[in-house]
Amino acid sequence: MHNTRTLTVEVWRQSSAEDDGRFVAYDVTGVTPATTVLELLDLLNEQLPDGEQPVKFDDGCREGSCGKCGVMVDGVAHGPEFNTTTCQQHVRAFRNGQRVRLEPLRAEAFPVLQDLAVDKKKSLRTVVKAARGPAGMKALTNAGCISCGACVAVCPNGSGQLFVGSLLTELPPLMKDDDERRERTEKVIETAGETFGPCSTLGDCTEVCPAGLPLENLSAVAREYLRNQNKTRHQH
Amino acid sequence: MTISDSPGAPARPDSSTTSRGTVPATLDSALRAADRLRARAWETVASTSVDAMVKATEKMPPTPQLKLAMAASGTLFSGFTVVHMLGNLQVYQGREAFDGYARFLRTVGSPVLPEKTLLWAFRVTMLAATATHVTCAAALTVRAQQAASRPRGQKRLRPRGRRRRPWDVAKRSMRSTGVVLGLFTAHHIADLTVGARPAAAEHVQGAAYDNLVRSLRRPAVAALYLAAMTALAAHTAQGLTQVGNDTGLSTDRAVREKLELAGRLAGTGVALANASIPLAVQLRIVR
Repeated sequence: MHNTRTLTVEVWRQSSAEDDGRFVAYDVTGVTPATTVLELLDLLNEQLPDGEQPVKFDDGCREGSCGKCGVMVDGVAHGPEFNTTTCQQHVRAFRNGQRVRLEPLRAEAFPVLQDLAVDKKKSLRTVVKAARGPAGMKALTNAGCISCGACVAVCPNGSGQLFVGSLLTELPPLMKDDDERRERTEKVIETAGETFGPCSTLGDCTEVCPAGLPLENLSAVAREYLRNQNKTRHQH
Repeated sequence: MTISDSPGAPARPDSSTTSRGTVPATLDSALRAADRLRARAWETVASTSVDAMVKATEKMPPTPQLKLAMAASGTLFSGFTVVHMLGNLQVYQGREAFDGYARFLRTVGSPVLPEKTLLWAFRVTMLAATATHVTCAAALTVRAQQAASRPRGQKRLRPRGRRRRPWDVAKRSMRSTGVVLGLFTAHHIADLTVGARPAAAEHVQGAAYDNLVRSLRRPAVAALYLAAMTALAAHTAQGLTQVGNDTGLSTDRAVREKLELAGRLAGTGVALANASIPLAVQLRIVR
């Protein structure tokens, strides 16, 4: 096993949502180039000293398709590899003895529950619910979005515009008429404004998005917003 | 197995042994108490002012409207920089042509309108656009920082595995380049429009060409001008990209890419053309 290495993993430990968190460093041995970030956490939990609580983190299919997992690896949501979920990120980029910092997905919309586990469902779901009914979920599925929340976490503005924009790109064709489209897109934009920050078109979101959603989706928010404004003006 | 516990904020060095050398125990504890008081005061100020700012921005229009206002005022500014550059370049046609153009700007519209009427209308428009642009930027900044808030004492890490090219750095520098441009414009007006010292060199009303040459002869002013042009190129490039995004034009990939290219070309074009003037003055090509 000449390929195994030891990494110093700095993990965010936070016992509950109310507590202050802090980084704790652990040495993790037996890491191979093929180890994924989640497997690294598994190794860490196996090697924890007696009496220490295992590190809690969001886990899912480990196939990169469910969108449940997600941590920040050295400041990047999911990890250094582009457009790859945390469970599919291999640690081959890290050399023996290097330090890796793992923290929860950071955003005001994603409160930390414990250690690396965050509640991202609530805020993402409020936006989808604003599109009412299964149409919102259908739109996200059509866009290819797996609702992992990495775009929000990596954004220096805490903006969810890639998520919201992708929803609004795919929502209009699912609407039965124009009134429904206006009503629902308006609600989505309003809810998103209350939940996420403003978009500065930096494009960090498209670097981490596992679905590889394009930058063009961002602009759907403004398009639908202006469209709704025009209608309002005609009515008066 | 546990190597070290690194708490969220780095611990303050023990003041009696490291930062202040050896000091009497009473003085030391007094200093520590003062440190604690100061830290608490700062925390209070920071948290209350953040709360106040967040409250203030809640009353502002929704984000898409602020973005549209920024796009409109920003487009106006970009258009102005192009026209202004074309005016500037007349410096190469000599003193007479340049002063004539300056006179034209003051008298345009007369004799139908009183002299300087259009000039003042334009100035008021630009002032209103500036107020809009700055207010919206401030509100959006507060909203962004609120949405991306992190636990106290936890800075954003420089992201691993991301190389940033100059244009990517420019993208992230809208606030700083904006501040540079604002300060430069204030200096520029005090220098060449008002002629107020110490911003201005020897200033004669109406002698635009001589005022410009005398001003840019000063190396510090020429350097400031060049720095401001770098900021202009960066700000315009990302600005136009954002105009496309915030008006819904960029839902089309081709449009988005064209706008990005147009922003870079316009930004660097205007900046280079303008920057040639202080260089020409410094090299005594324009004298």
